[in-house]
Amino acid sequence: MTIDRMRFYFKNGSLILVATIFLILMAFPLVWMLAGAFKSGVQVFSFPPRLLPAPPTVENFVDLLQRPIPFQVFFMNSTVVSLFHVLGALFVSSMMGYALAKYQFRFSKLLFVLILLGMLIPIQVLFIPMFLVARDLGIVNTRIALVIPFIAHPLGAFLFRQYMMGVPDSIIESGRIDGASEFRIYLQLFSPMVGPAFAAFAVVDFVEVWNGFVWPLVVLSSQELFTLPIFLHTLIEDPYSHNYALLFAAATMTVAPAVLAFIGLQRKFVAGFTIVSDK
Amino acid sequence: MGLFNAKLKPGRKKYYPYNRYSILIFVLPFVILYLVFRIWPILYAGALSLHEWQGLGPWNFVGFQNYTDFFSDPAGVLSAGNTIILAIGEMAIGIPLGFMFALLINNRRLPMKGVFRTIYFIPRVVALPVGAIIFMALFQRQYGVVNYVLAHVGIEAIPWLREPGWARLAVMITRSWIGIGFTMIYFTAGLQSIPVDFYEASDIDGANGLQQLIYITLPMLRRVSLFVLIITTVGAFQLFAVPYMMTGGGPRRATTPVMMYMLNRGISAGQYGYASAISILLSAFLAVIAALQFRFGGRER
Repeated sequence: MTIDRMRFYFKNGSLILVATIFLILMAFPLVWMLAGAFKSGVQVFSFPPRLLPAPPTVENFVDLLQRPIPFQVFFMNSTVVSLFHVLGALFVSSMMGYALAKYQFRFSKLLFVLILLGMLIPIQVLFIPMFLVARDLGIVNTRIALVIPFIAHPLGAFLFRQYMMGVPDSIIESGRIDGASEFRIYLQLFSPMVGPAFAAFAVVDFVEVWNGFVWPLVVLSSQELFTLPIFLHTLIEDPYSHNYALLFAAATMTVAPAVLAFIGLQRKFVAGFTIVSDK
Repeated sequence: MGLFNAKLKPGRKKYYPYNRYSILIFVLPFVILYLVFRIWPILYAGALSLHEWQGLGPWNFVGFQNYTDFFSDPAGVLSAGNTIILAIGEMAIGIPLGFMFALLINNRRLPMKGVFRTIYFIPRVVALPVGAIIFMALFQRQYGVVNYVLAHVGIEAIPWLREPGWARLAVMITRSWIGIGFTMIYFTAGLQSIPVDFYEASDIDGANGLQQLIYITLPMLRRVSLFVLIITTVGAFQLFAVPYMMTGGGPRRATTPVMMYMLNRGISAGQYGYASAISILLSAFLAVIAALQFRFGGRER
């Protein structure tokens, strides 16, 4: 009996120990960043390394706000771009999914095949021709270029189609009998039924845009339009501000909205991520 | 999707009449944007890849020369090799750990599972450039935490980011840190789909934990593992941000992946024909890999 108990505690104890060691390893980089954001430029690389800032300072955040282009400009750029990107993709791609799920029309099969094709090719690989298309359209180096190429989201349309096929047609029929227009049926009767799918898609898409790096790098050249991830790159390139404390402060502000969105909406997020993300 | 099967063919069921043209409202916005920004670029790249073009003036037809050039271009071949090495390394670190994390948080005896799961997953929502910045600091040669810890076990300061091999390892570690949570979620879903009876039956037969792992868990996860392998391969071949931030592709081009080489040739050097050929090669390769996912995913259930 006692041996069994000892074995039980040993097994349990080692399980918790292993899980905790990995927890510390996984969390450490972010904790290091967060602590570093409140250190002075000299303190970040103190030797031997010290986790906690002594004394903590907010000078990095103040510095960020006092740069020639203040930090809030980049933060706003990211916010505006993410907002329009998510709303646009949600609206347009869900309507496409709705049409595929609930109507029979000519070319719907072809369209579905084209959507599957788009899901197979990661968009990042097409950034060269997309850049040339954006140039032909005259939208290079504008915020529009960060938004409209991604509104027709093939994976989004596909997932909405799948989800919407599970919602009964009778809702649509009842709307028709009451004389509502097709668009109104979709907007007022049908879309509330697919709220969970909207939420899951929105939160995952938000994190993807917010973190987007390659396309803004390719398409933007004016600093005042930069989003947070590429602003971080300019900070690294800038020889006068290559200061890890400053970088950590900027990185913390970049990560915060995504991490908060994740923690707040975790269940939706994990469910959404396993199906939505194409990374 | 039971409803789909239950849905009657048109003509057999009477639908209440509606304005068929209103379908266009739902379809057109997507179709127009999709054709302009997804389909047209693919065709554009396909056509341009057969030409030489510097961004101005007429296209110069060169046939498949851009494609053959890529395979005889040392820098191009190196970038392809780098991508493969870095992808394999990332998966070799990330997939086993992701599997292990899934086993841990799926264990009945682990308290506060939610906390563990959340922390393991969080790096996935961190922007790649942020991950790169953090690990650049951790891998700093003189004052970095990693070398500090290694010094305690008697390992001399490693020139991370300065030597090709170490720089590659640094990139792999950074990428896997971000990706582990993602892999974990898939494996967790896989683990939860294994019927508990299997374990109970084997308990009665006196199987120990290791035997259960080898004879029940692993075989039952074959399909999920394949899926994870495909999806991480597709992700790993798009590698760009982490080496771009951490090493700029160096030292000695050892961390220049195909994506970076393609963008350098195209956007920086203006060799749009050549860059398009790389884009097409990469698209075709990744589309084939991703199509495997449909093939194996489709057979499930």
